[in-house]
Amino acid sequence: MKFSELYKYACGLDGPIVRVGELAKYVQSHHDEVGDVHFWPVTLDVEVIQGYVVFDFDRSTAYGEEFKILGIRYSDQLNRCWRRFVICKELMHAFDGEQERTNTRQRFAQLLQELETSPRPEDFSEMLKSEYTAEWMALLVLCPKRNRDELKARLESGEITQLDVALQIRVPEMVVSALMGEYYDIVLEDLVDSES
Amino acid sequence: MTQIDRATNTLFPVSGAQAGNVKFFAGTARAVTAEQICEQFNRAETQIRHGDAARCIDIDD
Repeated sequence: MKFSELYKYACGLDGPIVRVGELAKYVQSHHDEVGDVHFWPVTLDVEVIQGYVVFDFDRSTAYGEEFKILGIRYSDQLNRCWRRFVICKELMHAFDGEQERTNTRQRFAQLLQELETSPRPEDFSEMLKSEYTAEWMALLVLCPKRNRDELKARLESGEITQLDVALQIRVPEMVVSALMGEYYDIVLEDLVDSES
Repeated sequence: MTQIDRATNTLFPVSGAQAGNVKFFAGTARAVTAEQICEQFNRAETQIRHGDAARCIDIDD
């Protein structure tokens, strides 16, 4: 399953709020590799990390290594908008390609080192690049173009504020500028249109 | 054993199946260490393993 398929599914959902739970069900039922998606609110220091995802087989059952679970852990202190955004971003890692996956000891060490040292963008590994790509994927499915263009027009006319946009689609207010900016169409073209 | 060692052994044991992917959503602090990240990971995984966390079904409301 490609990301563009999930985006099209999100475009077809009714109402201004795209439910992350519905997106997860779609991934679970249409993505060959994902057997199930689990959500775990846990205690995390949000200054360090707000959530993470582990794609792993179910070690608690006898399903074996063929049945893989996308296990998303997130801080139990996040409000609804942040919770939806964090979970949705982690869900997007279901679409990571082979080079983007942290799937060996060596790659895990490399990712940790990058998160610690904040390298220049030109030196990012494919793993680290995918962290940023996944954020944009999440924004695209949480606010597909039709919703976004309508909200952008109302925002530019002064009818609504950025906070109104955030409350209407239930995303953190701090991501609204990105959603309303020109880069939205560039990344949509890159991640969806070119893949279709 | 460091927090990094513990997290590495959980995800990628010396023998047996390896995790297929792991990614993090950055925190609010400008700079964090790998050891701090793994400390959070290990604590959360322990919570889940010991039954101190409950799976959430409805994440949107």
